[in-house]
Amino acid sequence: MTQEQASRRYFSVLIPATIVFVAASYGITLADNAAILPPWALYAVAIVPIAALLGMFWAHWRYMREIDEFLRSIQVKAAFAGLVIVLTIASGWGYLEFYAEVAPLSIYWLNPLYWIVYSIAAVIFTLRSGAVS
Amino acid sequence: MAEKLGVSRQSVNAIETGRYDPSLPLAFSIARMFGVPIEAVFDDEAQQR
Repeated sequence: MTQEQASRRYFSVLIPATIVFVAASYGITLADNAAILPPWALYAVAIVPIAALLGMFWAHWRYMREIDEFLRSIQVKAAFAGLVIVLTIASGWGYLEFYAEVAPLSIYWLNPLYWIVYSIAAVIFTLRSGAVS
Repeated sequence: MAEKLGVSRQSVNAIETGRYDPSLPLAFSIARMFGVPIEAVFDDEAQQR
C-alpha cells in the first residue's frame, strides 16, 4: 500500500470520527444544560463520542501499520510526544490541585490536547527528518 | 526507486541524505535492487571511527 492510499484511508475515518466526536460532545452539553434528557440517557448518549474517539485511535493505529518504517518512526515519535505532554500536564496539574489548590482541570481536555500536541510534533519531526524537501 | 522498494518517496529521500538508517530488510532490498552487496551501499560508521 502506498503512503497516499494509507493517508486516504486514515483521513476517511479520522475526519468523520472527529466530526461525530465534536458534534456529540456539543450535543451532550446542550442536552445537559437544557435538562431535556434524564441522567441515564446522558450516560447512554455519552457512548457516541467515546465510540468516535476509539474510531480515531483505531484509524491512527491502522495508519501506522500501513505506512513504511521511516514514516512510522515519525508517527511513533509524534504520538510519544503527545503522550509525554498530556501525562506531564495531567500529573503536574494533579499535584497542583492537591497541594496548591489551583482550579480543577477537566480531564476531558486531555484528549484534544493529545491530538494538538501529536499534530504539531508530527509536523516538526517530519520537517526535521528531511521527509519534506 | 521508492515504488520498487515499496516505500515512500520521503523514505528514500531521508535514506539518501543520511537522515534515516533503514532496517536490515530494507537495506538488503536496496542492495538487491542495485545488484550489489549491502556493504557497497551502506557504510559501517562505527567501524570507520
